[in-house]
Amino acid sequence: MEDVLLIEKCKNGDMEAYELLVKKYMKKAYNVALFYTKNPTDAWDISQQGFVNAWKGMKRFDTRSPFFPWLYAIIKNEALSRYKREKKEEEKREEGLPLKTIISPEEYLEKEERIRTLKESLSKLDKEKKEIIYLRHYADMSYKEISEVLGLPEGTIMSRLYYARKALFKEYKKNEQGRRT
Amino acid sequence: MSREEELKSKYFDKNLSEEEKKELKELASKDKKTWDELKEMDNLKEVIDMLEPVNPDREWEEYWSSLYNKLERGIGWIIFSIGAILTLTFLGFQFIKNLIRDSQIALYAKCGFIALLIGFIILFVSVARERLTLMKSDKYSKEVKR
Repeated sequence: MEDVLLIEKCKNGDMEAYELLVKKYMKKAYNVALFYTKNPTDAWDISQQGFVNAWKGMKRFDTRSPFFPWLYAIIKNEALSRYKREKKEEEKREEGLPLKTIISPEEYLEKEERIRTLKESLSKLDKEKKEIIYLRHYADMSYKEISEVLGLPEGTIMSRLYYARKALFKEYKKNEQGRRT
Repeated sequence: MSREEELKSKYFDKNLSEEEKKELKELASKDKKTWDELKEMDNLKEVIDMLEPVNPDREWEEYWSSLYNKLERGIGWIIFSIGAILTLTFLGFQFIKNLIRDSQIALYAKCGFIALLIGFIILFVSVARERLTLMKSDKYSKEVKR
């Protein structure tokens, strides 16, 4: 069912419609929260709080706009507010991305060096570049979706992603050479 | 962003049309550096695809049920709060009414009780208003407001 129809039903208090909407976006919502929290438990909690806040504010939501960018802003806001409350965690959150390998242990042993180099390179990028790479490759979002959540034209997203990847290449090569020598 | 950069970006995303593939091939055939860059892109893309976001420590099947509980509790809290406000207002009103009417209580004690109550209400409203203002002027909420 289309988001607009589901949201219209949600505005009338239809929980079954909201269940469908939640199930459609829960993984993306979790991945977005994970980028900001770096912690699976917090990401689960914050993404759920995002859905709770979205439900509360559903009546104010304008159905002419897409749902996910709105939810993204709510989750980001929730994560940053919590982050602000827990200032102690600041340094920890600035570290690398919360990623794990999806290859077999044998393959991992063979490619360990390259994976470690990539993780290191990603952690050295600035936050803006890290975010755009994460949204595209790990939150599995299209250019259109990224442009909607970041509120920028698709052309700008393409260009920013190009330069973010370029910076990642550069960092990766530098780290790779560093390991060899 | 130049045309070459756009093509490279699309190459990285494996999103080139047949015509664009030809165009990029032509560009790469003229410049060895472009070939090397494309090879490096393949190499990096391979490693990028070996990673994924860390899984939640709970099952996805639990997501909706635990969210539903939170939503239900939220509704419960709203109803509870409305009930509490109405009950407390009623009890407060009754208390003041009886206090004023009670001739056995001294006037200074009556004034003391009423001042205590009014003071509490003012403090409560002031703290609640401060919290609300703080929430509205939160710089983090401004950051994501579009």
